[in-house]
Amino acid sequence: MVREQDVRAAFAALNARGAPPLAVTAEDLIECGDRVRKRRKKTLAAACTGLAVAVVLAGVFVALPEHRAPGEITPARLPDSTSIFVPPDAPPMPEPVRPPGQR
Amino acid sequence: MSDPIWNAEFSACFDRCAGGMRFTTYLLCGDWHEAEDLMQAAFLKLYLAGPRLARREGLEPYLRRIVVRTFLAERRRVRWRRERVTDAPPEVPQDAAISEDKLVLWQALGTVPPRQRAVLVLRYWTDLSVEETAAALKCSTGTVKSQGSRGLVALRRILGPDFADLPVEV
Repeated sequence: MVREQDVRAAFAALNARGAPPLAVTAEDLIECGDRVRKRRKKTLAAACTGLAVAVVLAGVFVALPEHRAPGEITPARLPDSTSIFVPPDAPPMPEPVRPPGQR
Repeated sequence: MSDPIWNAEFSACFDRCAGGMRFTTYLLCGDWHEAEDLMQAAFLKLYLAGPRLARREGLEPYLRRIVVRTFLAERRRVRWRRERVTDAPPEVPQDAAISEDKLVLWQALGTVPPRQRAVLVLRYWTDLSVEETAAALKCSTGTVKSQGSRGLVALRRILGPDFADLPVEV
């Protein structure tokens, strides 16, 4: 049976063995942290600039005259029935189909 | 622009905690190089979060929480990588400074799932209470109890019933 004391003792024994020297110092981490901060600021600034440019471009695109709503539309004049040319060899117009029961 | 007061506090915290924190991480991951990487990542997160911290007097528990969560997040991430880090500790102590029973226990601990191992390390190495362990792992006290119990059961299953009869000496 594994007891809690066994686990504690194993951890303590491992700790007593010592450890390799640290490969990093607080100054290294501070330097690295400052670099990360600068990079984040640059990324944020670039993102804000990109967003502002996109908003301006979208505004310009919407404001262009060809994208405005078309003016009043008037229906075209119907052609005069006498002006329709019917070729002489054209087949006769079919009789309109009437619904059953209607005379 | 970095804050010189925070830099001084951070340096003092690093000098005070780095060794212990790296050993805790070593117990979690079983590899000195990985432990160093995780410890660096945790200290870097602490450094970046520092100016936003309302209270800076209790940095050690906060740092421990970062270490454990970074370790667990890393273990979740490696599941999806092609290069897999094995659970078995790659650095096996080989000198006579550690007795055989502790060596066996250490190797067995490497096969326990990461979350259960984290509970065992926090409870039996850093001597955190169940509540403190739950806060560090961001889970309930019931989960800590069950994970710790399962961790011990797993060790028991791996080591067999004769382990307790071995002499325990530091």
